[in-house]
This record gives sequence, C-alpha cells and structure tokens, in this order.
Amino acid sequence: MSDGASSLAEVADDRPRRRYRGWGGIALLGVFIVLVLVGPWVVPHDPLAPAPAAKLSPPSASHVFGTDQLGRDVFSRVITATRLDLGIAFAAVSISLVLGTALGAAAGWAGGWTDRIVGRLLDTIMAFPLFVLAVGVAAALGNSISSVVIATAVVNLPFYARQSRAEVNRRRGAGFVEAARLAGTGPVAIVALHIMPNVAPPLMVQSSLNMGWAILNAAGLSFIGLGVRPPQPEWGIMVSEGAANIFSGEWWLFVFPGAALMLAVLAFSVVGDTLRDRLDPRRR
Amino acid sequence: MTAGQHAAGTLLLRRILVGIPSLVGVVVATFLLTRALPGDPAAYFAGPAATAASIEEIRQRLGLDRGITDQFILYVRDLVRGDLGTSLLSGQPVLDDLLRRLPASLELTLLALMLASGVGIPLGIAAALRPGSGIDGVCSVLAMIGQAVPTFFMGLILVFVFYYTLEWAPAPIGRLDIIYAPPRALTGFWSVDAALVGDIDLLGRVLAQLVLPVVTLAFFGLGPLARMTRASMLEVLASDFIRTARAAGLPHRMVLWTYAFRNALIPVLGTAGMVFSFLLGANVLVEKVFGWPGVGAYAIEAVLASDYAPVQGFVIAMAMLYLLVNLAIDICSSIIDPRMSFDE
Repeated sequence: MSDGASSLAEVADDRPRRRYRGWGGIALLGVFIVLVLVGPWVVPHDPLAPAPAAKLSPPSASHVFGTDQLGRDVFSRVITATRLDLGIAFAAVSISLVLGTALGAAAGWAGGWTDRIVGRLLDTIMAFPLFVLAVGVAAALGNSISSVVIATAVVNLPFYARQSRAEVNRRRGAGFVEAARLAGTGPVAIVALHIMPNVAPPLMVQSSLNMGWAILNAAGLSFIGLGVRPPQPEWGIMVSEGAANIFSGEWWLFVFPGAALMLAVLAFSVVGDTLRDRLDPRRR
Repeated sequence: MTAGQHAAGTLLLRRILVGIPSLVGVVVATFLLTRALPGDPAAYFAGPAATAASIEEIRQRLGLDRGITDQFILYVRDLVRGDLGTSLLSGQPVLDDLLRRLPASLELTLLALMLASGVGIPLGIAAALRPGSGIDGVCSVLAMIGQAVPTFFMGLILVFVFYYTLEWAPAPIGRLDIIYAPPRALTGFWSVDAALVGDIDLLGRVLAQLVLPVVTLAFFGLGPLARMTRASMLEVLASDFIRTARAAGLPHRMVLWTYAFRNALIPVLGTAGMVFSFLLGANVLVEKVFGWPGVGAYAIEAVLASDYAPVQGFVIAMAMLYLLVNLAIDICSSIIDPRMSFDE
C-alpha cells in the first residue's frame, strides 16, 4: 500500500511567518495547560449543577457562554472539560509513544523475523481508514473512556513504531554502538541508553503533532456516543448535545465547545511544527 | 496480446499480489477484534434482548464452542461467501444493508475528494509558483485550519449559517426530502441518476442536499492535498531537468504543465489515497450531522445498540474499499510515471 499516512504531519512545509505563529501556539498551549491544572477550581459555576430557571439563556455577563438545556453554565463546562479531553489524548499518545517506540526499536535492532512480523502488524493497522478502525476497536472493547484511550492509542501506534524502527536501524552499526558493545553493554541497555537519546527529539515532535490528531479522534468517538457519557462535560459530547438546539437557534451550545476543540488542536499542531523547525537544522 | 499489454497485465497482477498480505492482515485483525469483545461474543451478537437459548444457538452457529483455529476457518468461509451476519436492528443480512447504503456514502466521499482536489491542487500550485506571497499564506492557513476544525463541528457551523440563519441550504435531513421520490436506481449515485433520467428539478434538489456535507468533508481533505502539491511542485521546479527545459527555451506553459506538473503529481496521487481514507473515517461523523443514510450512520446506530455484526461488516468493508483505492492509485501512478513499472 502507499506509504503516505504519516505524511499528513510531515508534508514538507517550510514557509515564512512562522515565528509569530510559533509563539502564538506556545501561548495558547500554555493557557490550556493552566486550565488542565486549575480549571475545575476557577470556574464560576458548578459544571454539573442544573438551574432550570436559567435554561437556554444566551451568553450574558453572568453566563459568558450562556447556559444549556438544563441551565448548566456552558463556560464552566467547557473549562472543566479541558482536563478530560486533553487527558484522554495525552494518555493515548503516551501509550502509543512508549509501546510504538519499543516495538519499533525491537524490530529495528533485531531485524529478520521480528522486523517482518512487526512490519506486518503495522501494515495491517494502516490498511484501515484510521477513524473507522478506532470505531471498531472502541466498539469491541465496550463503551468506556478507557476503550476510547486504547482505540486512539492503537491507531497511532504505527507512526511511532515506524519512526523508531528507522532511527534504530540506521544507528545499529554506528561507531558509538560498536564501542558500547565492546564495553560489554547488553543489547537492551545499548538501545535504551545509547540509541534512544538520539531518537527522542523526532519522537517528541511526532508526539506534539500527534496530540492534535488524538484530541480530534477522541472527541469524534464521543461525538458519536462512544466513551464519555453525559452528564460529564466533554467537548465532543457537548457539541453533540448542542447540535439539536441549532434548529431553535441556540448556537452557543455547540459553538463554544467546538471552538475549544479547534483551538486545542491548533495549539498542538503549531507547537509541533515549531519544534520540528527548531530540531531539524535543514528546515531552520 | 502485444508485449505492452502483456507487461501491463503482469504489472496489474503484481500490484494485486502486493495487496494480498494487507488483505490477510485485515481479515485476521477483524477476527481478533470480534474475539476481543469483553464478555461473551455470542451474547454480544445476540443483542441485548437475547434469551439464554438464542445465545446458545448463536454460539453454535458462530462456532464459538470450537477451538480458535476452527473458528477462524469458519469466519473466513463466511466472509468468502459474503456472509457478514445479520443486523439485529434491521433484521437484514449485513451485506445487503451495506450494499444498499454504500452508494450514499460513496457519492459523498467521491464528490468531496473531487472538490478537495479541484481546490487544493490548484491552490498548492499557485502557492509553489509564488512562495511567500499572499496566495501562499492563504494556502498555509486554509490547510492548517482545515486540519484543526473537527469535521462534525464544521458541518454544524455550515448548517447553522446556511440553513438556520441564511436559509440558503435545505434542511440537513439526508439525501432528499422525503416528500420527493428519489430517482430510479441506476448507479445508486442520485446526482448521476437524476442527470441520466434528465430530471433537472430533481438533480437540483439532490445537489442542494449534497452541497453542505461535501463542502464539510472537502474542507477537511483540502489541507494535505494543497500542502503536498506545493511541496512537490517546489521540489520539481528546483530540479535540473526543469532548468534544462527552461534553458532550452521551451515555452513557460509547456515547462510548467508537461514537465513539472506531471512529475509533481505522483506524490500528490499518494496523498489523494490517504485523504480518501481520512474521508472514509470523517464520513461517519458527517453522516451523523447531516442525517445521511450511508454506511457510517448505519455503523453508529449499530454501535450504540450493541449490534456488533454490522459494525464488524462496516470495518471490513471500509478496509476493502481502501485497499482497492490503493490498488487503483498504484496503477494510476505507474501510468503517469512509466519508470515505476520497471523499478521492481
């Protein structure tokens, strides 16, 4: 099959005006990280408390993002959801980073059959449209948050594994590896202590670029009703719940959580691009 | 058979053979997914309203009382026969349901791919011809936003603006308002069918329903195509043979289209395949937003009702479709670039 799936993030893209964009992305990401850390304590209202008297009120001074069908404060719900949305994506990316890197390193170091089997496994994952596979995995594992995490991690695995395999394979015969081997270092220690530090920077870039995709994937799964359940505030579900109110003109229910999703994805992709430019001297 | 035809036949055969390991992988993976169900797969397939007796019957029918190898053989046998099980929701064989709904999804996906290519590729070329210019900036920002906006959010924004506020678009209730009769099924693509029977009014209504979902999907697919076209064009334009062609005094147009564009197109084709796969995934979300009666909406209904056979059938069908598209792209690439046929 055509080997293009990772190029969504990697398509050569060297352009001007990136410096401002980079700082903007970092600032935005900073805001999201602060919200993850302190969000639940700074919101003006209880994100779960219904207030039937104030239901479906448009944005105002007391409810800056308005209220939903139960009178809950949309602003508080959007802020509180940051932790869950970014948490799911972070958990998924961490799993695929660790597992994918280990798998790829094993394949790249051992070569031969290990390499062939790992390669087949990755090809199989890539043979599915990724969101379709994520739906299948999440459905098979049962309707829970952890299956959304696992589904997102599985479909992301190949990106890390391929990169790690290529980098380890390339350095397998390098001088510093030979030196470590002569010094009596075991293969696991060579890969972990000598090769991995060299492979880490590109994998970090990959993780940052991948976070945005993981956020979209997880929110998409909850949008169709998998994973997170109401009344828990989560951006995908909030957009899904707000969709019905479009036809009565209550736009604030879907616009704010949707915009939060978009900004989070933008922040990670801009930061990822900036990191890549910094780490790759050819693109500087 | 001429030598040329013979070579083309061998090439086609080789491409098909290359796809077989992926096919095997897909079959094994879906089998494992089925068996990875938490709890009892028979109970899952039987659905929430099943009795102990019906679960037992399904267990035997699926061969779940046998060893794992036997189960796999049974599974492959059913697949080869086209037996994907029965949907509990519709009571129909899953294959029939999928085949009936597939044209709706494909019409959406293919039109979106055409629109995304029709906008993304020229945009990428324009950006490559004037790097750093305003058009390059537009290209870059569009690509970035297209990838960052969740497709379902984009769809809802379009519905809110063009249906609710401006009242330009029809209600997002599927392929056609139910008060109108759909065109006679010829291809299953209602826009094509309406055009074939020459019913202009109907064609207009079908297209009106298509506009918003197609734009939603195309906006999502635009970015990778524009970026890849730009990068590929830049690389080709900087290459020696273009310099030579220019130095030889060939007309600017000829250099650009006959030499540069044709060479730049090859990686773009690969990207188009990738975008097609993204669109198949995004379709699931867009169909939900627009009440589109395609395979994605079918899969969602099934997932939420714990009706597993349709979900599994959907996943397999999409993987097969993607494999076929990749095959088609490989063949197109070797037509555009004759060198590729001799490479292996």
